[in-house]
Amino acid sequence: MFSKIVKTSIFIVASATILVAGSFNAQAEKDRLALQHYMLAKFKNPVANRAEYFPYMPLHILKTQYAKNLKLSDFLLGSYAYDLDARKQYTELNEFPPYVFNVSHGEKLYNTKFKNGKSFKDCFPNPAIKGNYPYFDTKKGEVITIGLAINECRVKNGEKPWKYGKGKLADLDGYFAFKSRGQVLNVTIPNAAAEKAYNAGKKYYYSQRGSLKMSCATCHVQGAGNKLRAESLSPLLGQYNHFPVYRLKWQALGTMQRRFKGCNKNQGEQPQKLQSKDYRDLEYFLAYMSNGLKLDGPDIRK
Amino acid sequence: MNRRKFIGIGAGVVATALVLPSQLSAVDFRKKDAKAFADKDIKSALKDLYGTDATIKGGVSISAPDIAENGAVVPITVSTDKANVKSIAVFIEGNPEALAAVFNVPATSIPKYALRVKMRKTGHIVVVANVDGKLYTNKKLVKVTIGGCGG
Amino acid sequence: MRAIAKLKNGITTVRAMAHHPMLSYLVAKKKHKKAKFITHLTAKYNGQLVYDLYSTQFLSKNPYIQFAFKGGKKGDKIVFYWIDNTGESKTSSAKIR
Repeated sequence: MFSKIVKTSIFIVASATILVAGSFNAQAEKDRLALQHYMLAKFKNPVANRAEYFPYMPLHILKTQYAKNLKLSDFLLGSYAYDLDARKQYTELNEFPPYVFNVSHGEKLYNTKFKNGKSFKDCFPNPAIKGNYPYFDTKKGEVITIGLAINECRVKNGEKPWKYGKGKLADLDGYFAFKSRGQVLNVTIPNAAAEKAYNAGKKYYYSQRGSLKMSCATCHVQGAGNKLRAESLSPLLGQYNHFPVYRLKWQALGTMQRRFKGCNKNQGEQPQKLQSKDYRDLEYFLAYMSNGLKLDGPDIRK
Repeated sequence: MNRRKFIGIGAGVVATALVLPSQLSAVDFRKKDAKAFADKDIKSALKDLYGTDATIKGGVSISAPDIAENGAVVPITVSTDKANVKSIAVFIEGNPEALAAVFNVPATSIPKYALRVKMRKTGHIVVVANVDGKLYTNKKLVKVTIGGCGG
Repeated sequence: MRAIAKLKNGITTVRAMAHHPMLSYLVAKKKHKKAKFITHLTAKYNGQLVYDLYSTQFLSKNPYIQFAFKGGKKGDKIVFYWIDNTGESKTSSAKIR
């Protein structure tokens, strides 16, 4: 009888500990699943759900140019998931993607020795590491993104840091992304400080900003599937996974941090310096929202 | 989505700055019809390229998007079902010069070509196939927008 | 030149991309550079031309081409050549798979 009470107590204490340990991502999990639920419902049948989700889209466009019954994995294509004419062009360009030279260059950079004889291989023995980023460094108490890690490696080895948005860093990011294709995104929230960073990123995402008073969510949650002038707005779900991105507008490969800068400008707000705390918390939040989906960078976008 | 791994594809043997004399084409359009490349409108370019702007509608297919994702990279495919095609010319309405590309069609070549072109603004892609002196043509309207976020 | 050449049912299909900025006059002026674009691009099989393009500044950066010709044998080479308006040229090859 006594042993039974002890066993039960131990069991209750043990499960309580597990619950406490996992609770840092409890709300984040709710957010993530709510986003999936929303997006799947939104794009299940655009024609039938026009009033609720696409009130300003002409019916004939929804009928003839929109896909329906989108699965989770479809969201990796961004607006190409639902915009059929744009998807045709994407498919054609993907026959021979413009980023092939960037990825080859990235591979070359990965293997090039620093002045001290070491190379990126010493920091990243296996180039298929995109799935490990971003992560919350519990010792440093901050979010570490892939861009930050690349430059940390350079500085540690006596080299000057690269620019965070494009060029060599983007090419190396592209090489890592290419090697990491197929990995399932699994960002974790290990402690209270990490949960704070997640919440900061989430708050940034949903806050109105700039002269146009638009939040990220205005376009990529509520606006997803709708048009902003001539742009087919892409959904938040699956957005992190395809970076770095070969944007046809840039005619170049660019990182996620570079896109933040562009989006801020479009919102009518002065952008921050790349890899600022806000931008890193934002990247952390964005990545978490796409947990469970596969990585498929680099990719082509408009 | 069928995406291929391109890293493993070798660039092959590369020799730079070596102009091989044996690159003889059936027609060197840049030598013979240099003026055609400078013409601003399609009619003049056609006249300078083929000696006439009289064309027969049909016999040529164009695959191009309705709305270009980006005017700098518009993927198109041009083809003709006619036999004895000598050359195929691609014109782009609205570009600073009308002529964008001319293909000589060698004997064993299948007259179907895909390429990616620059379009400055909304306009037609006009393709003309020279079939033993007869000019067959078709055109496709492509809308080129300045995106809201693209700016 | 990055190229994939595949033989199927007696027809060889080639998809290739040249590494070239294809800088148009307009963009070159803005960047204070000289316009630079491929003017002639060819492909040969067994010494015979199978692709012969006279191009302009209006081909996209890193121009992509796709074409097919009757014939070809696995393991044989296709030889590419391009020359641009500045006189620079490049030759490369790819094996038919």
